[in-house]
Order: sequence, then structure tokens, then C-alpha cells
Amino acid sequence: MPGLPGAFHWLIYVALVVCLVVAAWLFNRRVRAAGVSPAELAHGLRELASKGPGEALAVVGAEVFGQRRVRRRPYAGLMHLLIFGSYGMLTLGTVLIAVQHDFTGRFFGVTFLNGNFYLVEKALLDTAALGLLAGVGMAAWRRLAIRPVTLGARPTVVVAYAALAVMAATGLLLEAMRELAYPVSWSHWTYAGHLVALAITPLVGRLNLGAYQATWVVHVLAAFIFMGGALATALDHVVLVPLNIALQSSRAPGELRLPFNLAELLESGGDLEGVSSGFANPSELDWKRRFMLASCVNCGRCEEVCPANAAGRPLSPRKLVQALKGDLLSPSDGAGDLFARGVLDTDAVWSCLSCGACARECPAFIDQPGTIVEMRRHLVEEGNVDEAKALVLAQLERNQNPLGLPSYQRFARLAEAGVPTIEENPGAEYLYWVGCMSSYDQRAWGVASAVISLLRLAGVNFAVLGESERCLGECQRKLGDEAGFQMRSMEIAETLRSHGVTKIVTHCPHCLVTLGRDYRSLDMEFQVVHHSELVQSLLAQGRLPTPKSWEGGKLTYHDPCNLGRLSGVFDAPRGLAASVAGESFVELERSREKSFCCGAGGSNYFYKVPAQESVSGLRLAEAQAAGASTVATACPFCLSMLEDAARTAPGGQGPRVADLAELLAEALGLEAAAAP
Amino acid sequence: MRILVLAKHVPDTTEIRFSPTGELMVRQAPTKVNDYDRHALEEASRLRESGAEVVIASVGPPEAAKTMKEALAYGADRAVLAGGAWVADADPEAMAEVLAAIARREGPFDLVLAGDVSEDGYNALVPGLLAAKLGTPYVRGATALGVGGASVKVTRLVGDVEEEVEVALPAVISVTRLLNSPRVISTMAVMKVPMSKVETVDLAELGLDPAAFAPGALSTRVSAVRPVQSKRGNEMLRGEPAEIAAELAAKLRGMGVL
Ligand SMILES: Cc1cc2nc3c(=O)[nH]c(=O)nc-3n(C[C@H](O)[C@H](O)[C@H](O)COP(=O)(O)OP(=O)(O)OC[C@H]3O[C@@H](n4cnc5c(N)ncnc54)[C@H](O)[C@@H]3O)c2cc1C
Ligand code: SF4
Ligand code: SF4
Repeated sequence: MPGLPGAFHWLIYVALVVCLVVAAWLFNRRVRAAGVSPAELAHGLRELASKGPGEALAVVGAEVFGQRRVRRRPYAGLMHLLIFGSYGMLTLGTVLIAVQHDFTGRFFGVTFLNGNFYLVEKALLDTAALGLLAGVGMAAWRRLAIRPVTLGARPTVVVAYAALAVMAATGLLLEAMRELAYPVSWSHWTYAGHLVALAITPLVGRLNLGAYQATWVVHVLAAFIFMGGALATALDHVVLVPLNIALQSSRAPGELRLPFNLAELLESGGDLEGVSSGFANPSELDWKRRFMLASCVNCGRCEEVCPANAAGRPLSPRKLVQALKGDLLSPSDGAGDLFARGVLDTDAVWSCLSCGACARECPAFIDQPGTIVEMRRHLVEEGNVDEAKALVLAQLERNQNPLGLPSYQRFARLAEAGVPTIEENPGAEYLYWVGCMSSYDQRAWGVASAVISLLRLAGVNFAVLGESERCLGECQRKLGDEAGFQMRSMEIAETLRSHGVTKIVTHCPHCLVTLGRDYRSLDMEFQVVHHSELVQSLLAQGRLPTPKSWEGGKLTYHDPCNLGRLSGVFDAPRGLAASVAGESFVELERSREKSFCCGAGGSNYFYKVPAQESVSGLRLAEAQAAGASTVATACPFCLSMLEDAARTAPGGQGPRVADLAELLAEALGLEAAAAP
Repeated sequence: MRILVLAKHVPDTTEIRFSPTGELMVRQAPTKVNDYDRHALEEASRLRESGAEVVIASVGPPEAAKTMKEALAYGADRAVLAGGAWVADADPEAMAEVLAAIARREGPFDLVLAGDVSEDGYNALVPGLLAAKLGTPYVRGATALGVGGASVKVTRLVGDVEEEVEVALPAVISVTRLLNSPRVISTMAVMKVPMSKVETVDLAELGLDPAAFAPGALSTRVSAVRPVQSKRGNEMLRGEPAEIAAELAAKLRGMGVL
């Protein structure tokens, strides 16, 4: 380092060690405040590594280095990229210089920062310094001028950003001073430093060693303050978020935590006392979920996309996570559960639609919907739910459906349509899982009727369970009765196995997720496809004819949460829509993974919460704005909700709402399978 | 304070149907705690939180043991279930006789809480008969209870009139569904109740003579059960909402409803 006494040089390493120790100490304090011991964290990471860290690393890579989710917001994304990318480059550049100077160069005489590589590196580092300044400028503008509610200018944050800006600015200044003292022919590569040199030439004229040394000290101090202080306090997300992403990376969208496996629990004959499926207070959570809550950066992205929040329900996933995090770090006074202590209102947890929009958006990989279900589990175990929800649970128990209609009526429409049961047709290739809605609801029966006609036309050999079909309990699980859900699952899986069922088709995405993914997590494996996938493949194989013309005007498609975001089925329904309506198909503004919600998810079909608007009304208005005269969907709950919204749309009857199967059957001129 | 709660194991009425040949199909129906009794259980459980001891009494078939676990999950100390083959043909008088024997064996009790009526038999007789056998006062149809000291204040709805009765303990009180909202009982809560809390007894253990409960010895007998067709029609009105509303109003006026 030109112009600096040799001792400075080694002092840096001492300072670096001190700084890393301080950072580690601060970080340790941070995670301990959230009730996580570094030993647990280390154990968790080791466990992850032993299970094959490939997936976790890929996700961390995409999210941290690729900034996949962060980039989705233009301003915040650019700001974040500038700061993160620039800081990363500067750190890397500094490390390379140190390695060459104090290791490879000193001991082996090997240098690698030579020639063009050196020049390019110089130019990149100058760019990074400018990028860092721009990023900090954007951050300052956001916090001081734009001021989103979630952000403030806390002193620690101000110090962190100031340290970054000072570090970048003094870095360029040092470069400029060096250039003035030792002019080089390639100074256009260090273009930013060169510009600063031009600017300060009249001021300094010649290098003043004292000024250079002072600037250098400020530069190094700023870097160490940031590294040693900010990374473990104001900007602790730099450490927390990548770790949390790694720890949460294996969770499928919408997958709920298994608090126990009831089958194993009962088999072991263990004591059930003390077994619980939810949490009464955040302090009861296991370390992984405490760490998860502590990782929330309060960015507000979840709140922005939350349909419940948009409809003016008393729920903001951001506030909810922040409230839990706050209570975890410094528990409020009072006795009882978090509701009794006023940390959250029960209306907030009942407002959630389990739509998964928030979790898909969260850059910190926080599981808001799963956490909400765990609070519902606690409420149900305490018996603390209102009559509407209690009734749904009671009806599931008594009538084997959430609607409270007699179980023996489930098969009535199907019998009239002449659909064979699995006893009557044991060789069936597919078991058609009809679900409660189409078994009991007159309107939703239309969907089953269309599916039956299509399967018959294509010559698919299928059968139904008939009277022994019963609710899979997706609503029960979302209401929080986990043990009841698992009990039911074991019985249903037994029924299916007893008939040798392996392949299942269903038109209900709630059933799809339950019979597929949820059963798999309970070690019960069935191959389940959604009717849109099966019908689309029948069209592709030519087993169903392609419909000719479409006169229904613009057709749009609403992605049901459980089919799209939570199961990843986006293309098959679009293929169907296109084969029905061809060029008349239009996408909604919020489509595919970004889809909104119909308002029925998370069991909300069965009870009411306070709200300013209806979720279904908001969605229908979006379809109307797209000029759609027909809204297609692929879920009986979405159908019911959106059709209801269309009936009560402002300005009279809104667009037609129909299931994709109904539209296709109609376009092919198929008679309804039966119209009881 | 010691409380006895009567909880009956009943088939779910929403699942009862007549077979194509006209037989009443009760056996396949799922069973549960009589809904009215849930309110009595809830009330007792609340009183238990302030120190009362709660015992559940029931007369029913062996499967009722499962139902007793559900009843216990509301919060009670234990349950006594009396049963035997005779239960299938029992009448309210016989039920009350057995319940009285349980009350005497487990007693004395300060308060007996029962549901106002059972969903299956629908006689609304057992609590009154029991009170007569125990020689205590009986108040029917409580919508609110105020238990304190040696008496209990009972609010009951009689038509449009609300009546408040103060009755000395011990007493038998049957409760309506307006009394409270019973907590929801989760599957896990039922699973957590140990079977050891349910004691099963037979007539001899209660000091009763089984011969007195033989079908022929009972005072009443159900001689026939027939489905009754109630006439319900429906008519779909079509057109613009305003037209439909006007037509509907006219029809309702025509029927004398409006
Ligand atoms: C065709 C038919 C078949 C029947 N089969 C059976 C059967 O298999 N098994 C059976 O148990 N009953 C059966 N019954 C009902 C039986 O006759 C009645 O249980 C009995 O007559 C009592 O009358 P209730 O249920 O109307 O009681 P109510 O007087 O209406 O009951 C009022 C309250 O008394 C209490 N109570 C009443 N009975 C009991 C009880 N057994 N245990 C605890 N508390 C009680 C409850 O708190 C209840 O809410 C049948 C009835 C019919 C019509
Ligand atoms: S939960 Fe996630 S998306 Fe929501 S505020 Fe926190 S970090 Fe942001
Ligand atoms: S799951 Fe959907 S409704 Fe629930 S908090 Fe997240 S975005 Fe909101």
C-alpha cells in the first residue's frame, strides 16, 4: 500500500479478526434473542448437508445470487441488486488483492492480477463503487422520500447505509489520490477514480500524505463498521435470509408442517398427553420456525399480494409475521395464548385463504399460510372456534361432508347418470374422485356431468367409489383439526387400497392436493391427476375431437390457487381454453403463479369474516376489465364463488362462469351426463 | 359442588333414513352425544373450572363408551355407562330408573344437568322422571343458569315470556340450546381422554333387578314406526330481479305469509 507505514498493513488483519469476532458475537446475540442456539443452527445445517444439499444450494443460488424474488419489484429490486451486487464485487476485489499481495505474491511470487484481467477488474470495481453509491442513494430516497409504511430510518439503518456510502466514496477518493501521486497510462480504466482525480486536481494539486492516510483510515473504518456491526444488526437479513432459504428450501408450496404422524403415534401406543399440533405462543415453536420468523425483513411484499388484505379483511401477512417476530424477541406481558395477550386477533388467522400468494412472494421464504394454520390448530384444540366452524367440523364427522347433507345422498346423481362404482367395475383404469361439491351442489354437478361425458366419449375406463366416497377433509385440515384429518386420511386410504386403486382423476384441486401431495407426506401414495391434465392429454392423443368454432366472445381463465400456485398446473388448463376458444382466449393481469384467489380457500367457503369487499368480487372485476364475457375456471369452489360474484356484479349480470370441462363438453355438443 | 350430567348416545338424525322397503335404518347411522346434552356438558365444565366435581351418567349400548370419551372431552372427571341388551327396547321410565340408580350410587349430587330432549326418542321425559325418583325439584328448559350457594337461579323461555325461577339444591335441570355455545371438541381432544375414565356397569351392579327391564315388563312399547311424507313444493321464478321480487311478494301475499 503506497504511502502507508507497514504496520498499518498488518493491523488490518488484526482489525479484520476483531471485526469478525464482534460480528459473530452480535449475530449470536441476535439468534439467541429469537430463541435459537447457534448449536441448533449448526446442527440443522449439518443435517441439510447430509441429506444432500443440492436442492438447497440451487435454491439459495437462485434467490441470493440470482435475486429471483427480490427482482420482482422494479425499484426495490434494482436498489437491492445495486447494493448487494456492488458490495459483493468490492468484497471479492479486495479479497483478491489481499490474496495476491499477502499470500501468493509474498510467498510464491505468483501474481494473477495482471494485464487485461487487472484492467477489467479495476473497471469493474470502479463500477461497483458507483453502483453502491447509486444503491445507497436509492435506499435513502426510498426511506426519506417514498417512505413505504414498512420502512423507517432507524439509527442503526442510517449508520449502515452511511458506512456503505462512505466506504465507496473514500475508495474512489483514494484511487484518485493515488493517480495524482503516481500517474499511470491506463487511468481511463479506473474511470470513476480518474473523474474524481480531475475534480480534485485544482484543490490538492499534489498528494498530501496526511490527507491520504486520513482518508484511508476512514475508508477502512467504514468497511469494518459495516461488516462488524451492520451485518449482524440493521442488515442482519444478509446472514439470516440465505440461511433461512436453505432451511426452508425443501417445503413445497402450501405444504403444511406435520406435527405428528397419527398412524405412527397410535401404533407406538405412546401417551398422547402433551401432544399438540399447533402453537399457543411463538416461544413454543421449534428453532427452525423461530429462525424463520426472525428472518422477516418487513418488506411488505406479502401484504401487497394478499387477496385477504386487498379485500379489506383484518389480515396482513406482514403484520402477522411481524407481530409474531416481535413477540418472540420481546414477549408482551400477560397470561394465556397469543390471542389472550393481544398479540393477534383471531379474525386475522381466520381471514387467511391459504392461497399461498404471500409465500410465493416472500424473499425470506417465510411460511405465512402454514404458520396461520398452526395457530388455527391451537384454537381448535382449545375448542375456541365459533359456531359456523364448529358446525363444519361436526358435519364432517356426522355426514362425511362439510355441507351437512346426508352421506347416503352422495351417490344419488352419479347413480342416476349410470356411473359404475368400483365394485361394479373393478377393472377401471381411473378412479374418478368426485368430491363433495359436485356430489351435493346442483351447480357443481354440472362439472362432474361434463367430465363424465368427456371421459365416456374418449373411452376412458373409469369408476367412482359411490357411497363410500367421503370428504377428504381438506377443509378440516385448513380449519386446524389435524388429528381428525389424519384419522380420516388413514380410513380413506384403506378404502382406496382395498379396491386396488392406484390412478385417480379429480376435477377438484383441493382433492388433488390432498390425495396427491398431502397423502404422500403421510406415506400413502396415489397417482392423482386433475381433469384438466387428463382431458388435455386425451385431446392431444386425438381421443377427443377438437371443437370447431367458439362464439362465446373473449374467454379468460382464473387459475385456482390449489391447481396453479400450489400444484404447478398452468399449461394444461390453458391448452384446454385455447382449444375451446382459440384466439379469443385472453390472460388476466394476475395469472399463473401470480393468480389472485376466489375467496373460498383455507375453508373460507364455509364461514364469514369481516371484510370491506369480497375477494371474488375483486377477481370478477379483473375479468370484466379484461373484457371477458366468459370466465373459465377449473375448481368447483372457484366456480361457485365467481358465479356468485357475477350474479351480484355491479351493473347487472356479469360474465358467464364455467368450468373448462363444461365449456369443452358444450363445444363438442355433448349432452349432460344426467340432469337430475 | 358435585354435578351429575346426563349424556345420551344417539344416532345422528341427519343420517337416519328409511330403506326402500320402508324399514327405519338407524343402526348404520353414525352416533354422537345428544346435541342438547352438549350444552349441559359445557355448563358443567365451566362450573368445574371453579372447583365443581363432574360425573357423567349414561345408559346405552357398549358403543356408547366411545361417545362417553367425547362427552368427557368437554371437561369432566369420569363417566358411568350402564348398558345391556335391554337398552334397545327401553322406555323413558326404565332409562330414568337406571339413571336414578347411578345417581344414588355415585351421589349425593347438588345438581343434575340434562338436555331438554333427546334427538332420537324426543320424549323430553327422562329428566322429569329422574327428578321424581330422586325426590328433587325439576326445572325444564333453562336458557341461563346462576349457580350460587344452596340454590340455583334458572332463566327459562316460555313462549314470548322469560321466567326466572329460583330453586333449592339439589335439583334436576334440563337445558336448552340457548344456554351457551359448547366448545368444539377436536379429534385430538377425544383421543386424549383415557378409556379408564369410562366405567361400564350392568343392572346387577346398580342393585337393579334385570327382570324388571325385560321387554314385556316395561310400561311402554314402540309398536310401529312409519315414514310421514311432508308436502313441500318449490317453484323457480325467472326473469329480471325486480320482476321476480314483485312476483314473489305477490305470491307470498297470496299465501297469507306477508
Ligand atoms: C324405534 C326406536 C328405536 C330406539 N332404539 C334405541 C336404542 O337402540 N338405544 C337407545 O338408547 N335408545 C333407543 N331408542 C330411544 C329410547 O326409547 C329412548 O332412549 C328412551 O325412551 C328415553 O327417551 P328419550 O330419548 O326421548 O329421552 P328424553 O326424555 O327426550 O331425554 C331428555 C334428556 O334426558 C337425558 N337422557 C335421556 N335418555 C338418556 C340415556 N339413555 N342416558 C343418559 N341420559 C339420557 C338426556 O340428557 C336427554 O337430553 C329408540 C327409540 C325408537 C323410537
Ligand atoms: S413475511 Fe416475507 S414478504 Fe412478508 S414482510 Fe416479511 S420478509 Fe417480507
Ligand atoms: S395465504 Fe393468501 S390470504 Fe393467507 S396471508 Fe397469504 S396471501 Fe394472504
